[in-house]
Amino acid sequence: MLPKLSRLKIAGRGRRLVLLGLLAASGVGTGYVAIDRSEGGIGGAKAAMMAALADPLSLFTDRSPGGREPGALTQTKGPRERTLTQTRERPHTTPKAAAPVEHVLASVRERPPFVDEGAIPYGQPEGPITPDILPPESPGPFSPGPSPFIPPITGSGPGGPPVTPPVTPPGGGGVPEPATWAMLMIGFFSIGTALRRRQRLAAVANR
Amino acid sequence: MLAAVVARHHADRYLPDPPVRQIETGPRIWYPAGQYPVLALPDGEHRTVKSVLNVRETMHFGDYVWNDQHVPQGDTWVRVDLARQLLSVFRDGHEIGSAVILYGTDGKPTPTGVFPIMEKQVEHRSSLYDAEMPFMLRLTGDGVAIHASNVRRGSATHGCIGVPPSFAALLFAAVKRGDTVAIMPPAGIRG
Repeated sequence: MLPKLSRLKIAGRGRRLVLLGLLAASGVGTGYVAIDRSEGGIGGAKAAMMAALADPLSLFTDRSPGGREPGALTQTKGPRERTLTQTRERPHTTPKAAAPVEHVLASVRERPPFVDEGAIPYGQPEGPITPDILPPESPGPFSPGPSPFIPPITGSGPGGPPVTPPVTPPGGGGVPEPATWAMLMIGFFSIGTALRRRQRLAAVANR
Repeated sequence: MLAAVVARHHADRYLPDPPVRQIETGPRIWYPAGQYPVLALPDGEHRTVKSVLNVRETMHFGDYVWNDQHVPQGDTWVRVDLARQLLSVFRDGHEIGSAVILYGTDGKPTPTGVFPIMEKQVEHRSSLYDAEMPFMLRLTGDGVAIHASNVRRGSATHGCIGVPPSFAALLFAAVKRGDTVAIMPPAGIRG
């Protein structure tokens, strides 16, 4: 129960006082501090004297549950918490001037110099150069010539009824054909059966 | 019948509960006459201390000590130490009681300074927070008071000073209107 001398936080003069107090408590001199008559003794007197020579504030500190940090019970984020806290610290490397690290390539890829085998050097023709002149052929179907019959696109011939082009809606019709419906249904059913079958197989496998 | 039930309920509510645990206290530490230490108040006044309670262990939340044996009647004042979360009651320079307190958060801090006790109420219901505040000792005009509350770690008040209910009853009986309450600033605030 004796408080340590270091806990008393007193200066050199105070420590001298403590020594004087110890002397007094051991019966050499008169006591500084009177003790409650209910209990106590030499040991209690020593402890009480050493505590009494200290500041009452230090006694309060000894019995205190401790202080509360500022912002300990604040529910909102403080401005300090808005800053970036998890900064990545890279180890500080100092360049070693004395012994530079030599980086050697582990594998050097050796490749023979590129030689074009089929290159034809300039000025040395290997064989007879075929002329770029194509032989005359028969005229193609789009070649100018006697054109076949081209029907008139629009307009009305003299004396004929007015021809209107058939109007086809872009994007097909709004109602699908029955065959399209059937294909759609078959597709959905096949997807559904495949999924159910897969689930059933997975359930069996997990059992 | 109903009134009787309500009255008994109120009596139960304001009956001070026993202390949570027994604090080991040694003999009172008496300071030698002529070498009384002084405690500074926030307004610059100094008060001498003749003796303090010898609490031999660290007090936890909800703990208090009270011993006014052989302490003469005299001027009573209360020292509230927000930095140490402690309250001490002095009568004629002798410490007669001490308790761990709750105080206000940073958003609603407890004011520091020297306040006289303006009002005493055994049964008080806060109009501001609609809560029971038994053994209320009003300190400021805007409602800061010392009152009984559930003192536990991690709790705080809206600026009041919360003490354990049974200690609040003892403190209520020990002080009178006009007595001084000195609230020392919490840690981190120097002034």
